[in-house]
Amino acid sequence: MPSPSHESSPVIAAHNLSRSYEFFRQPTGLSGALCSLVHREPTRVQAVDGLDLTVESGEVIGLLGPNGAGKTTIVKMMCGLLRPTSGSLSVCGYRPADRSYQFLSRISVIFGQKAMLWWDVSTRESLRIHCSMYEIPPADFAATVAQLGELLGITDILDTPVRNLSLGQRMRCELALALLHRPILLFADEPSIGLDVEAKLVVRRLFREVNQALGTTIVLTSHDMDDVEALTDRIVIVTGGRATFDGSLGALRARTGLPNEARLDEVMAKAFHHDGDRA
Amino acid sequence: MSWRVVRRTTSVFLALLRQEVQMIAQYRWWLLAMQASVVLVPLISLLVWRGAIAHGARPPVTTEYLTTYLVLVSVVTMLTSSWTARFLADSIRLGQLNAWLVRPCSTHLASAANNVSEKLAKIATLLPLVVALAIAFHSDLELPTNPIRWLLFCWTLALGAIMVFSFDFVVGTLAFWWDDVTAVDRFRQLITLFLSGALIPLSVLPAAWGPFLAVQPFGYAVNFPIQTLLSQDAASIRDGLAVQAAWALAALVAARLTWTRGLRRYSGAGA
Repeated sequence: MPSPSHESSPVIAAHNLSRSYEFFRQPTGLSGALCSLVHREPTRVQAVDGLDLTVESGEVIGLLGPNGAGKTTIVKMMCGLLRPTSGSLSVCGYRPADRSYQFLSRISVIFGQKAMLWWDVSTRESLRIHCSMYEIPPADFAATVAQLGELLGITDILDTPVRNLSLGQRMRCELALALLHRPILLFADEPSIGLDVEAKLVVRRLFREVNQALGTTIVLTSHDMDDVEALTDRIVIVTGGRATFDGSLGALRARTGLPNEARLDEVMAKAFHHDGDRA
Repeated sequence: MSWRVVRRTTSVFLALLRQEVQMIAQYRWWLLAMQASVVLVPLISLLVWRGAIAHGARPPVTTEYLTTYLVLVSVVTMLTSSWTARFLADSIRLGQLNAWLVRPCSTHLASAANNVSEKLAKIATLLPLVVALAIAFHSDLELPTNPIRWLLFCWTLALGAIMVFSFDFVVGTLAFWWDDVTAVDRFRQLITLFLSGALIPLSVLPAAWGPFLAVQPFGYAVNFPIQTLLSQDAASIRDGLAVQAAWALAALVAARLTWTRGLRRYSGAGA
């Protein structure tokens, strides 16, 4: 099992990173649909356009931006799901698109909208499968499951089929699965979606503990500004596929010119609008 | 591939297999109903043929051959079948593949575990039904006693299963290029049903089709494994073994090629 490192080289290094999608435009109306049988119009969308980003070990960064800004595409490239169209990308010292065992066993991904747990069996069974995948020694496995179970308050539901869990319970179990192998880098996409207030606080506390105790680097994408405020040290705003702001929350507040007591939602909305105009 | 990778892959496969069996155990009635339907098609075929023979029809094979073939066909069809294409295509189209691609494990291991576990469960429920059929028609049943024949049968079953699984996989990976592969999958299923010998033995098809039937791949999934038990023509079995191995290899290469090429086009829809 890999242990988080505190090496001087950055955990994520992206240079001039770009990614475009090609698809056929869907014409409107019946006549358009009939015309498309013989002639289709190819379209190219530049989702990420020359992104430069460096993330050091142990950082917690919030990757934020309006819908369609390209932040999900960036995360997908960083975890090896998508190949960049151009530019260079190194994550944990590996090229993500190669999807090597060494790379994939060092990262973890939480998709708030997609389950990593197996739906028809218990969480414990999913954890066992991951135990085999990540080659976790049995003693470590038992200790980590007990520790995560207690921390996340899921000890009593570990043997319940996942399909019988509430959304909030499932998200806690998803977290346990994601953290089982102690990843160096954690991508969390809307990790607190569907959680009640108490569970959100638990998740935030857990992320902080994981970051501080193990030095795990966390890349957070979330529309929950309370998550962002509670967790991130650094904010990267993505607009039009580029990083249009990279700095602390304080710097972002100062940049928007809003008073310190302004809600973070307002700060973000103004920042997105401002950066969108510039992009 | 190092010993450590083999050990890890085996361990994950067994864990997935255990998980699949647990899941199947929760759907007991579905399994029984499915197996009853698997036996029904060859049973109807068997009754129709025997009725036709009783009324004077003269098929190019003996009643014993026909009866043994149709009793075996449900087991062979089940053991070499695959149902991955639809699920794989959906997971590509809807982005569900994301959950697998971020794990340090072959994405195909889950499909293989699903295939093997379902077959283990199905054979357990199918065998009693086949034994009942065999008892009902025992006077016309002719099975070889030579163990070499049964070994050949097992070998051709395994290669047939690999070939069908790989072709099924190729159809599923077409979803990297096309939004909907349902039509291709249905066409393949229809062709397979007819040309594999699952519906009627290939031996009763017109003799002029012989050369074509000998080289097309589908017959090596159902008809050929049964021939290793029933045919007396050693030369055709020998040739068949070579052709089946070639098709299995071609299917594996095609599956590998469409997967690696397709992944480059993957957009991971949704989060």
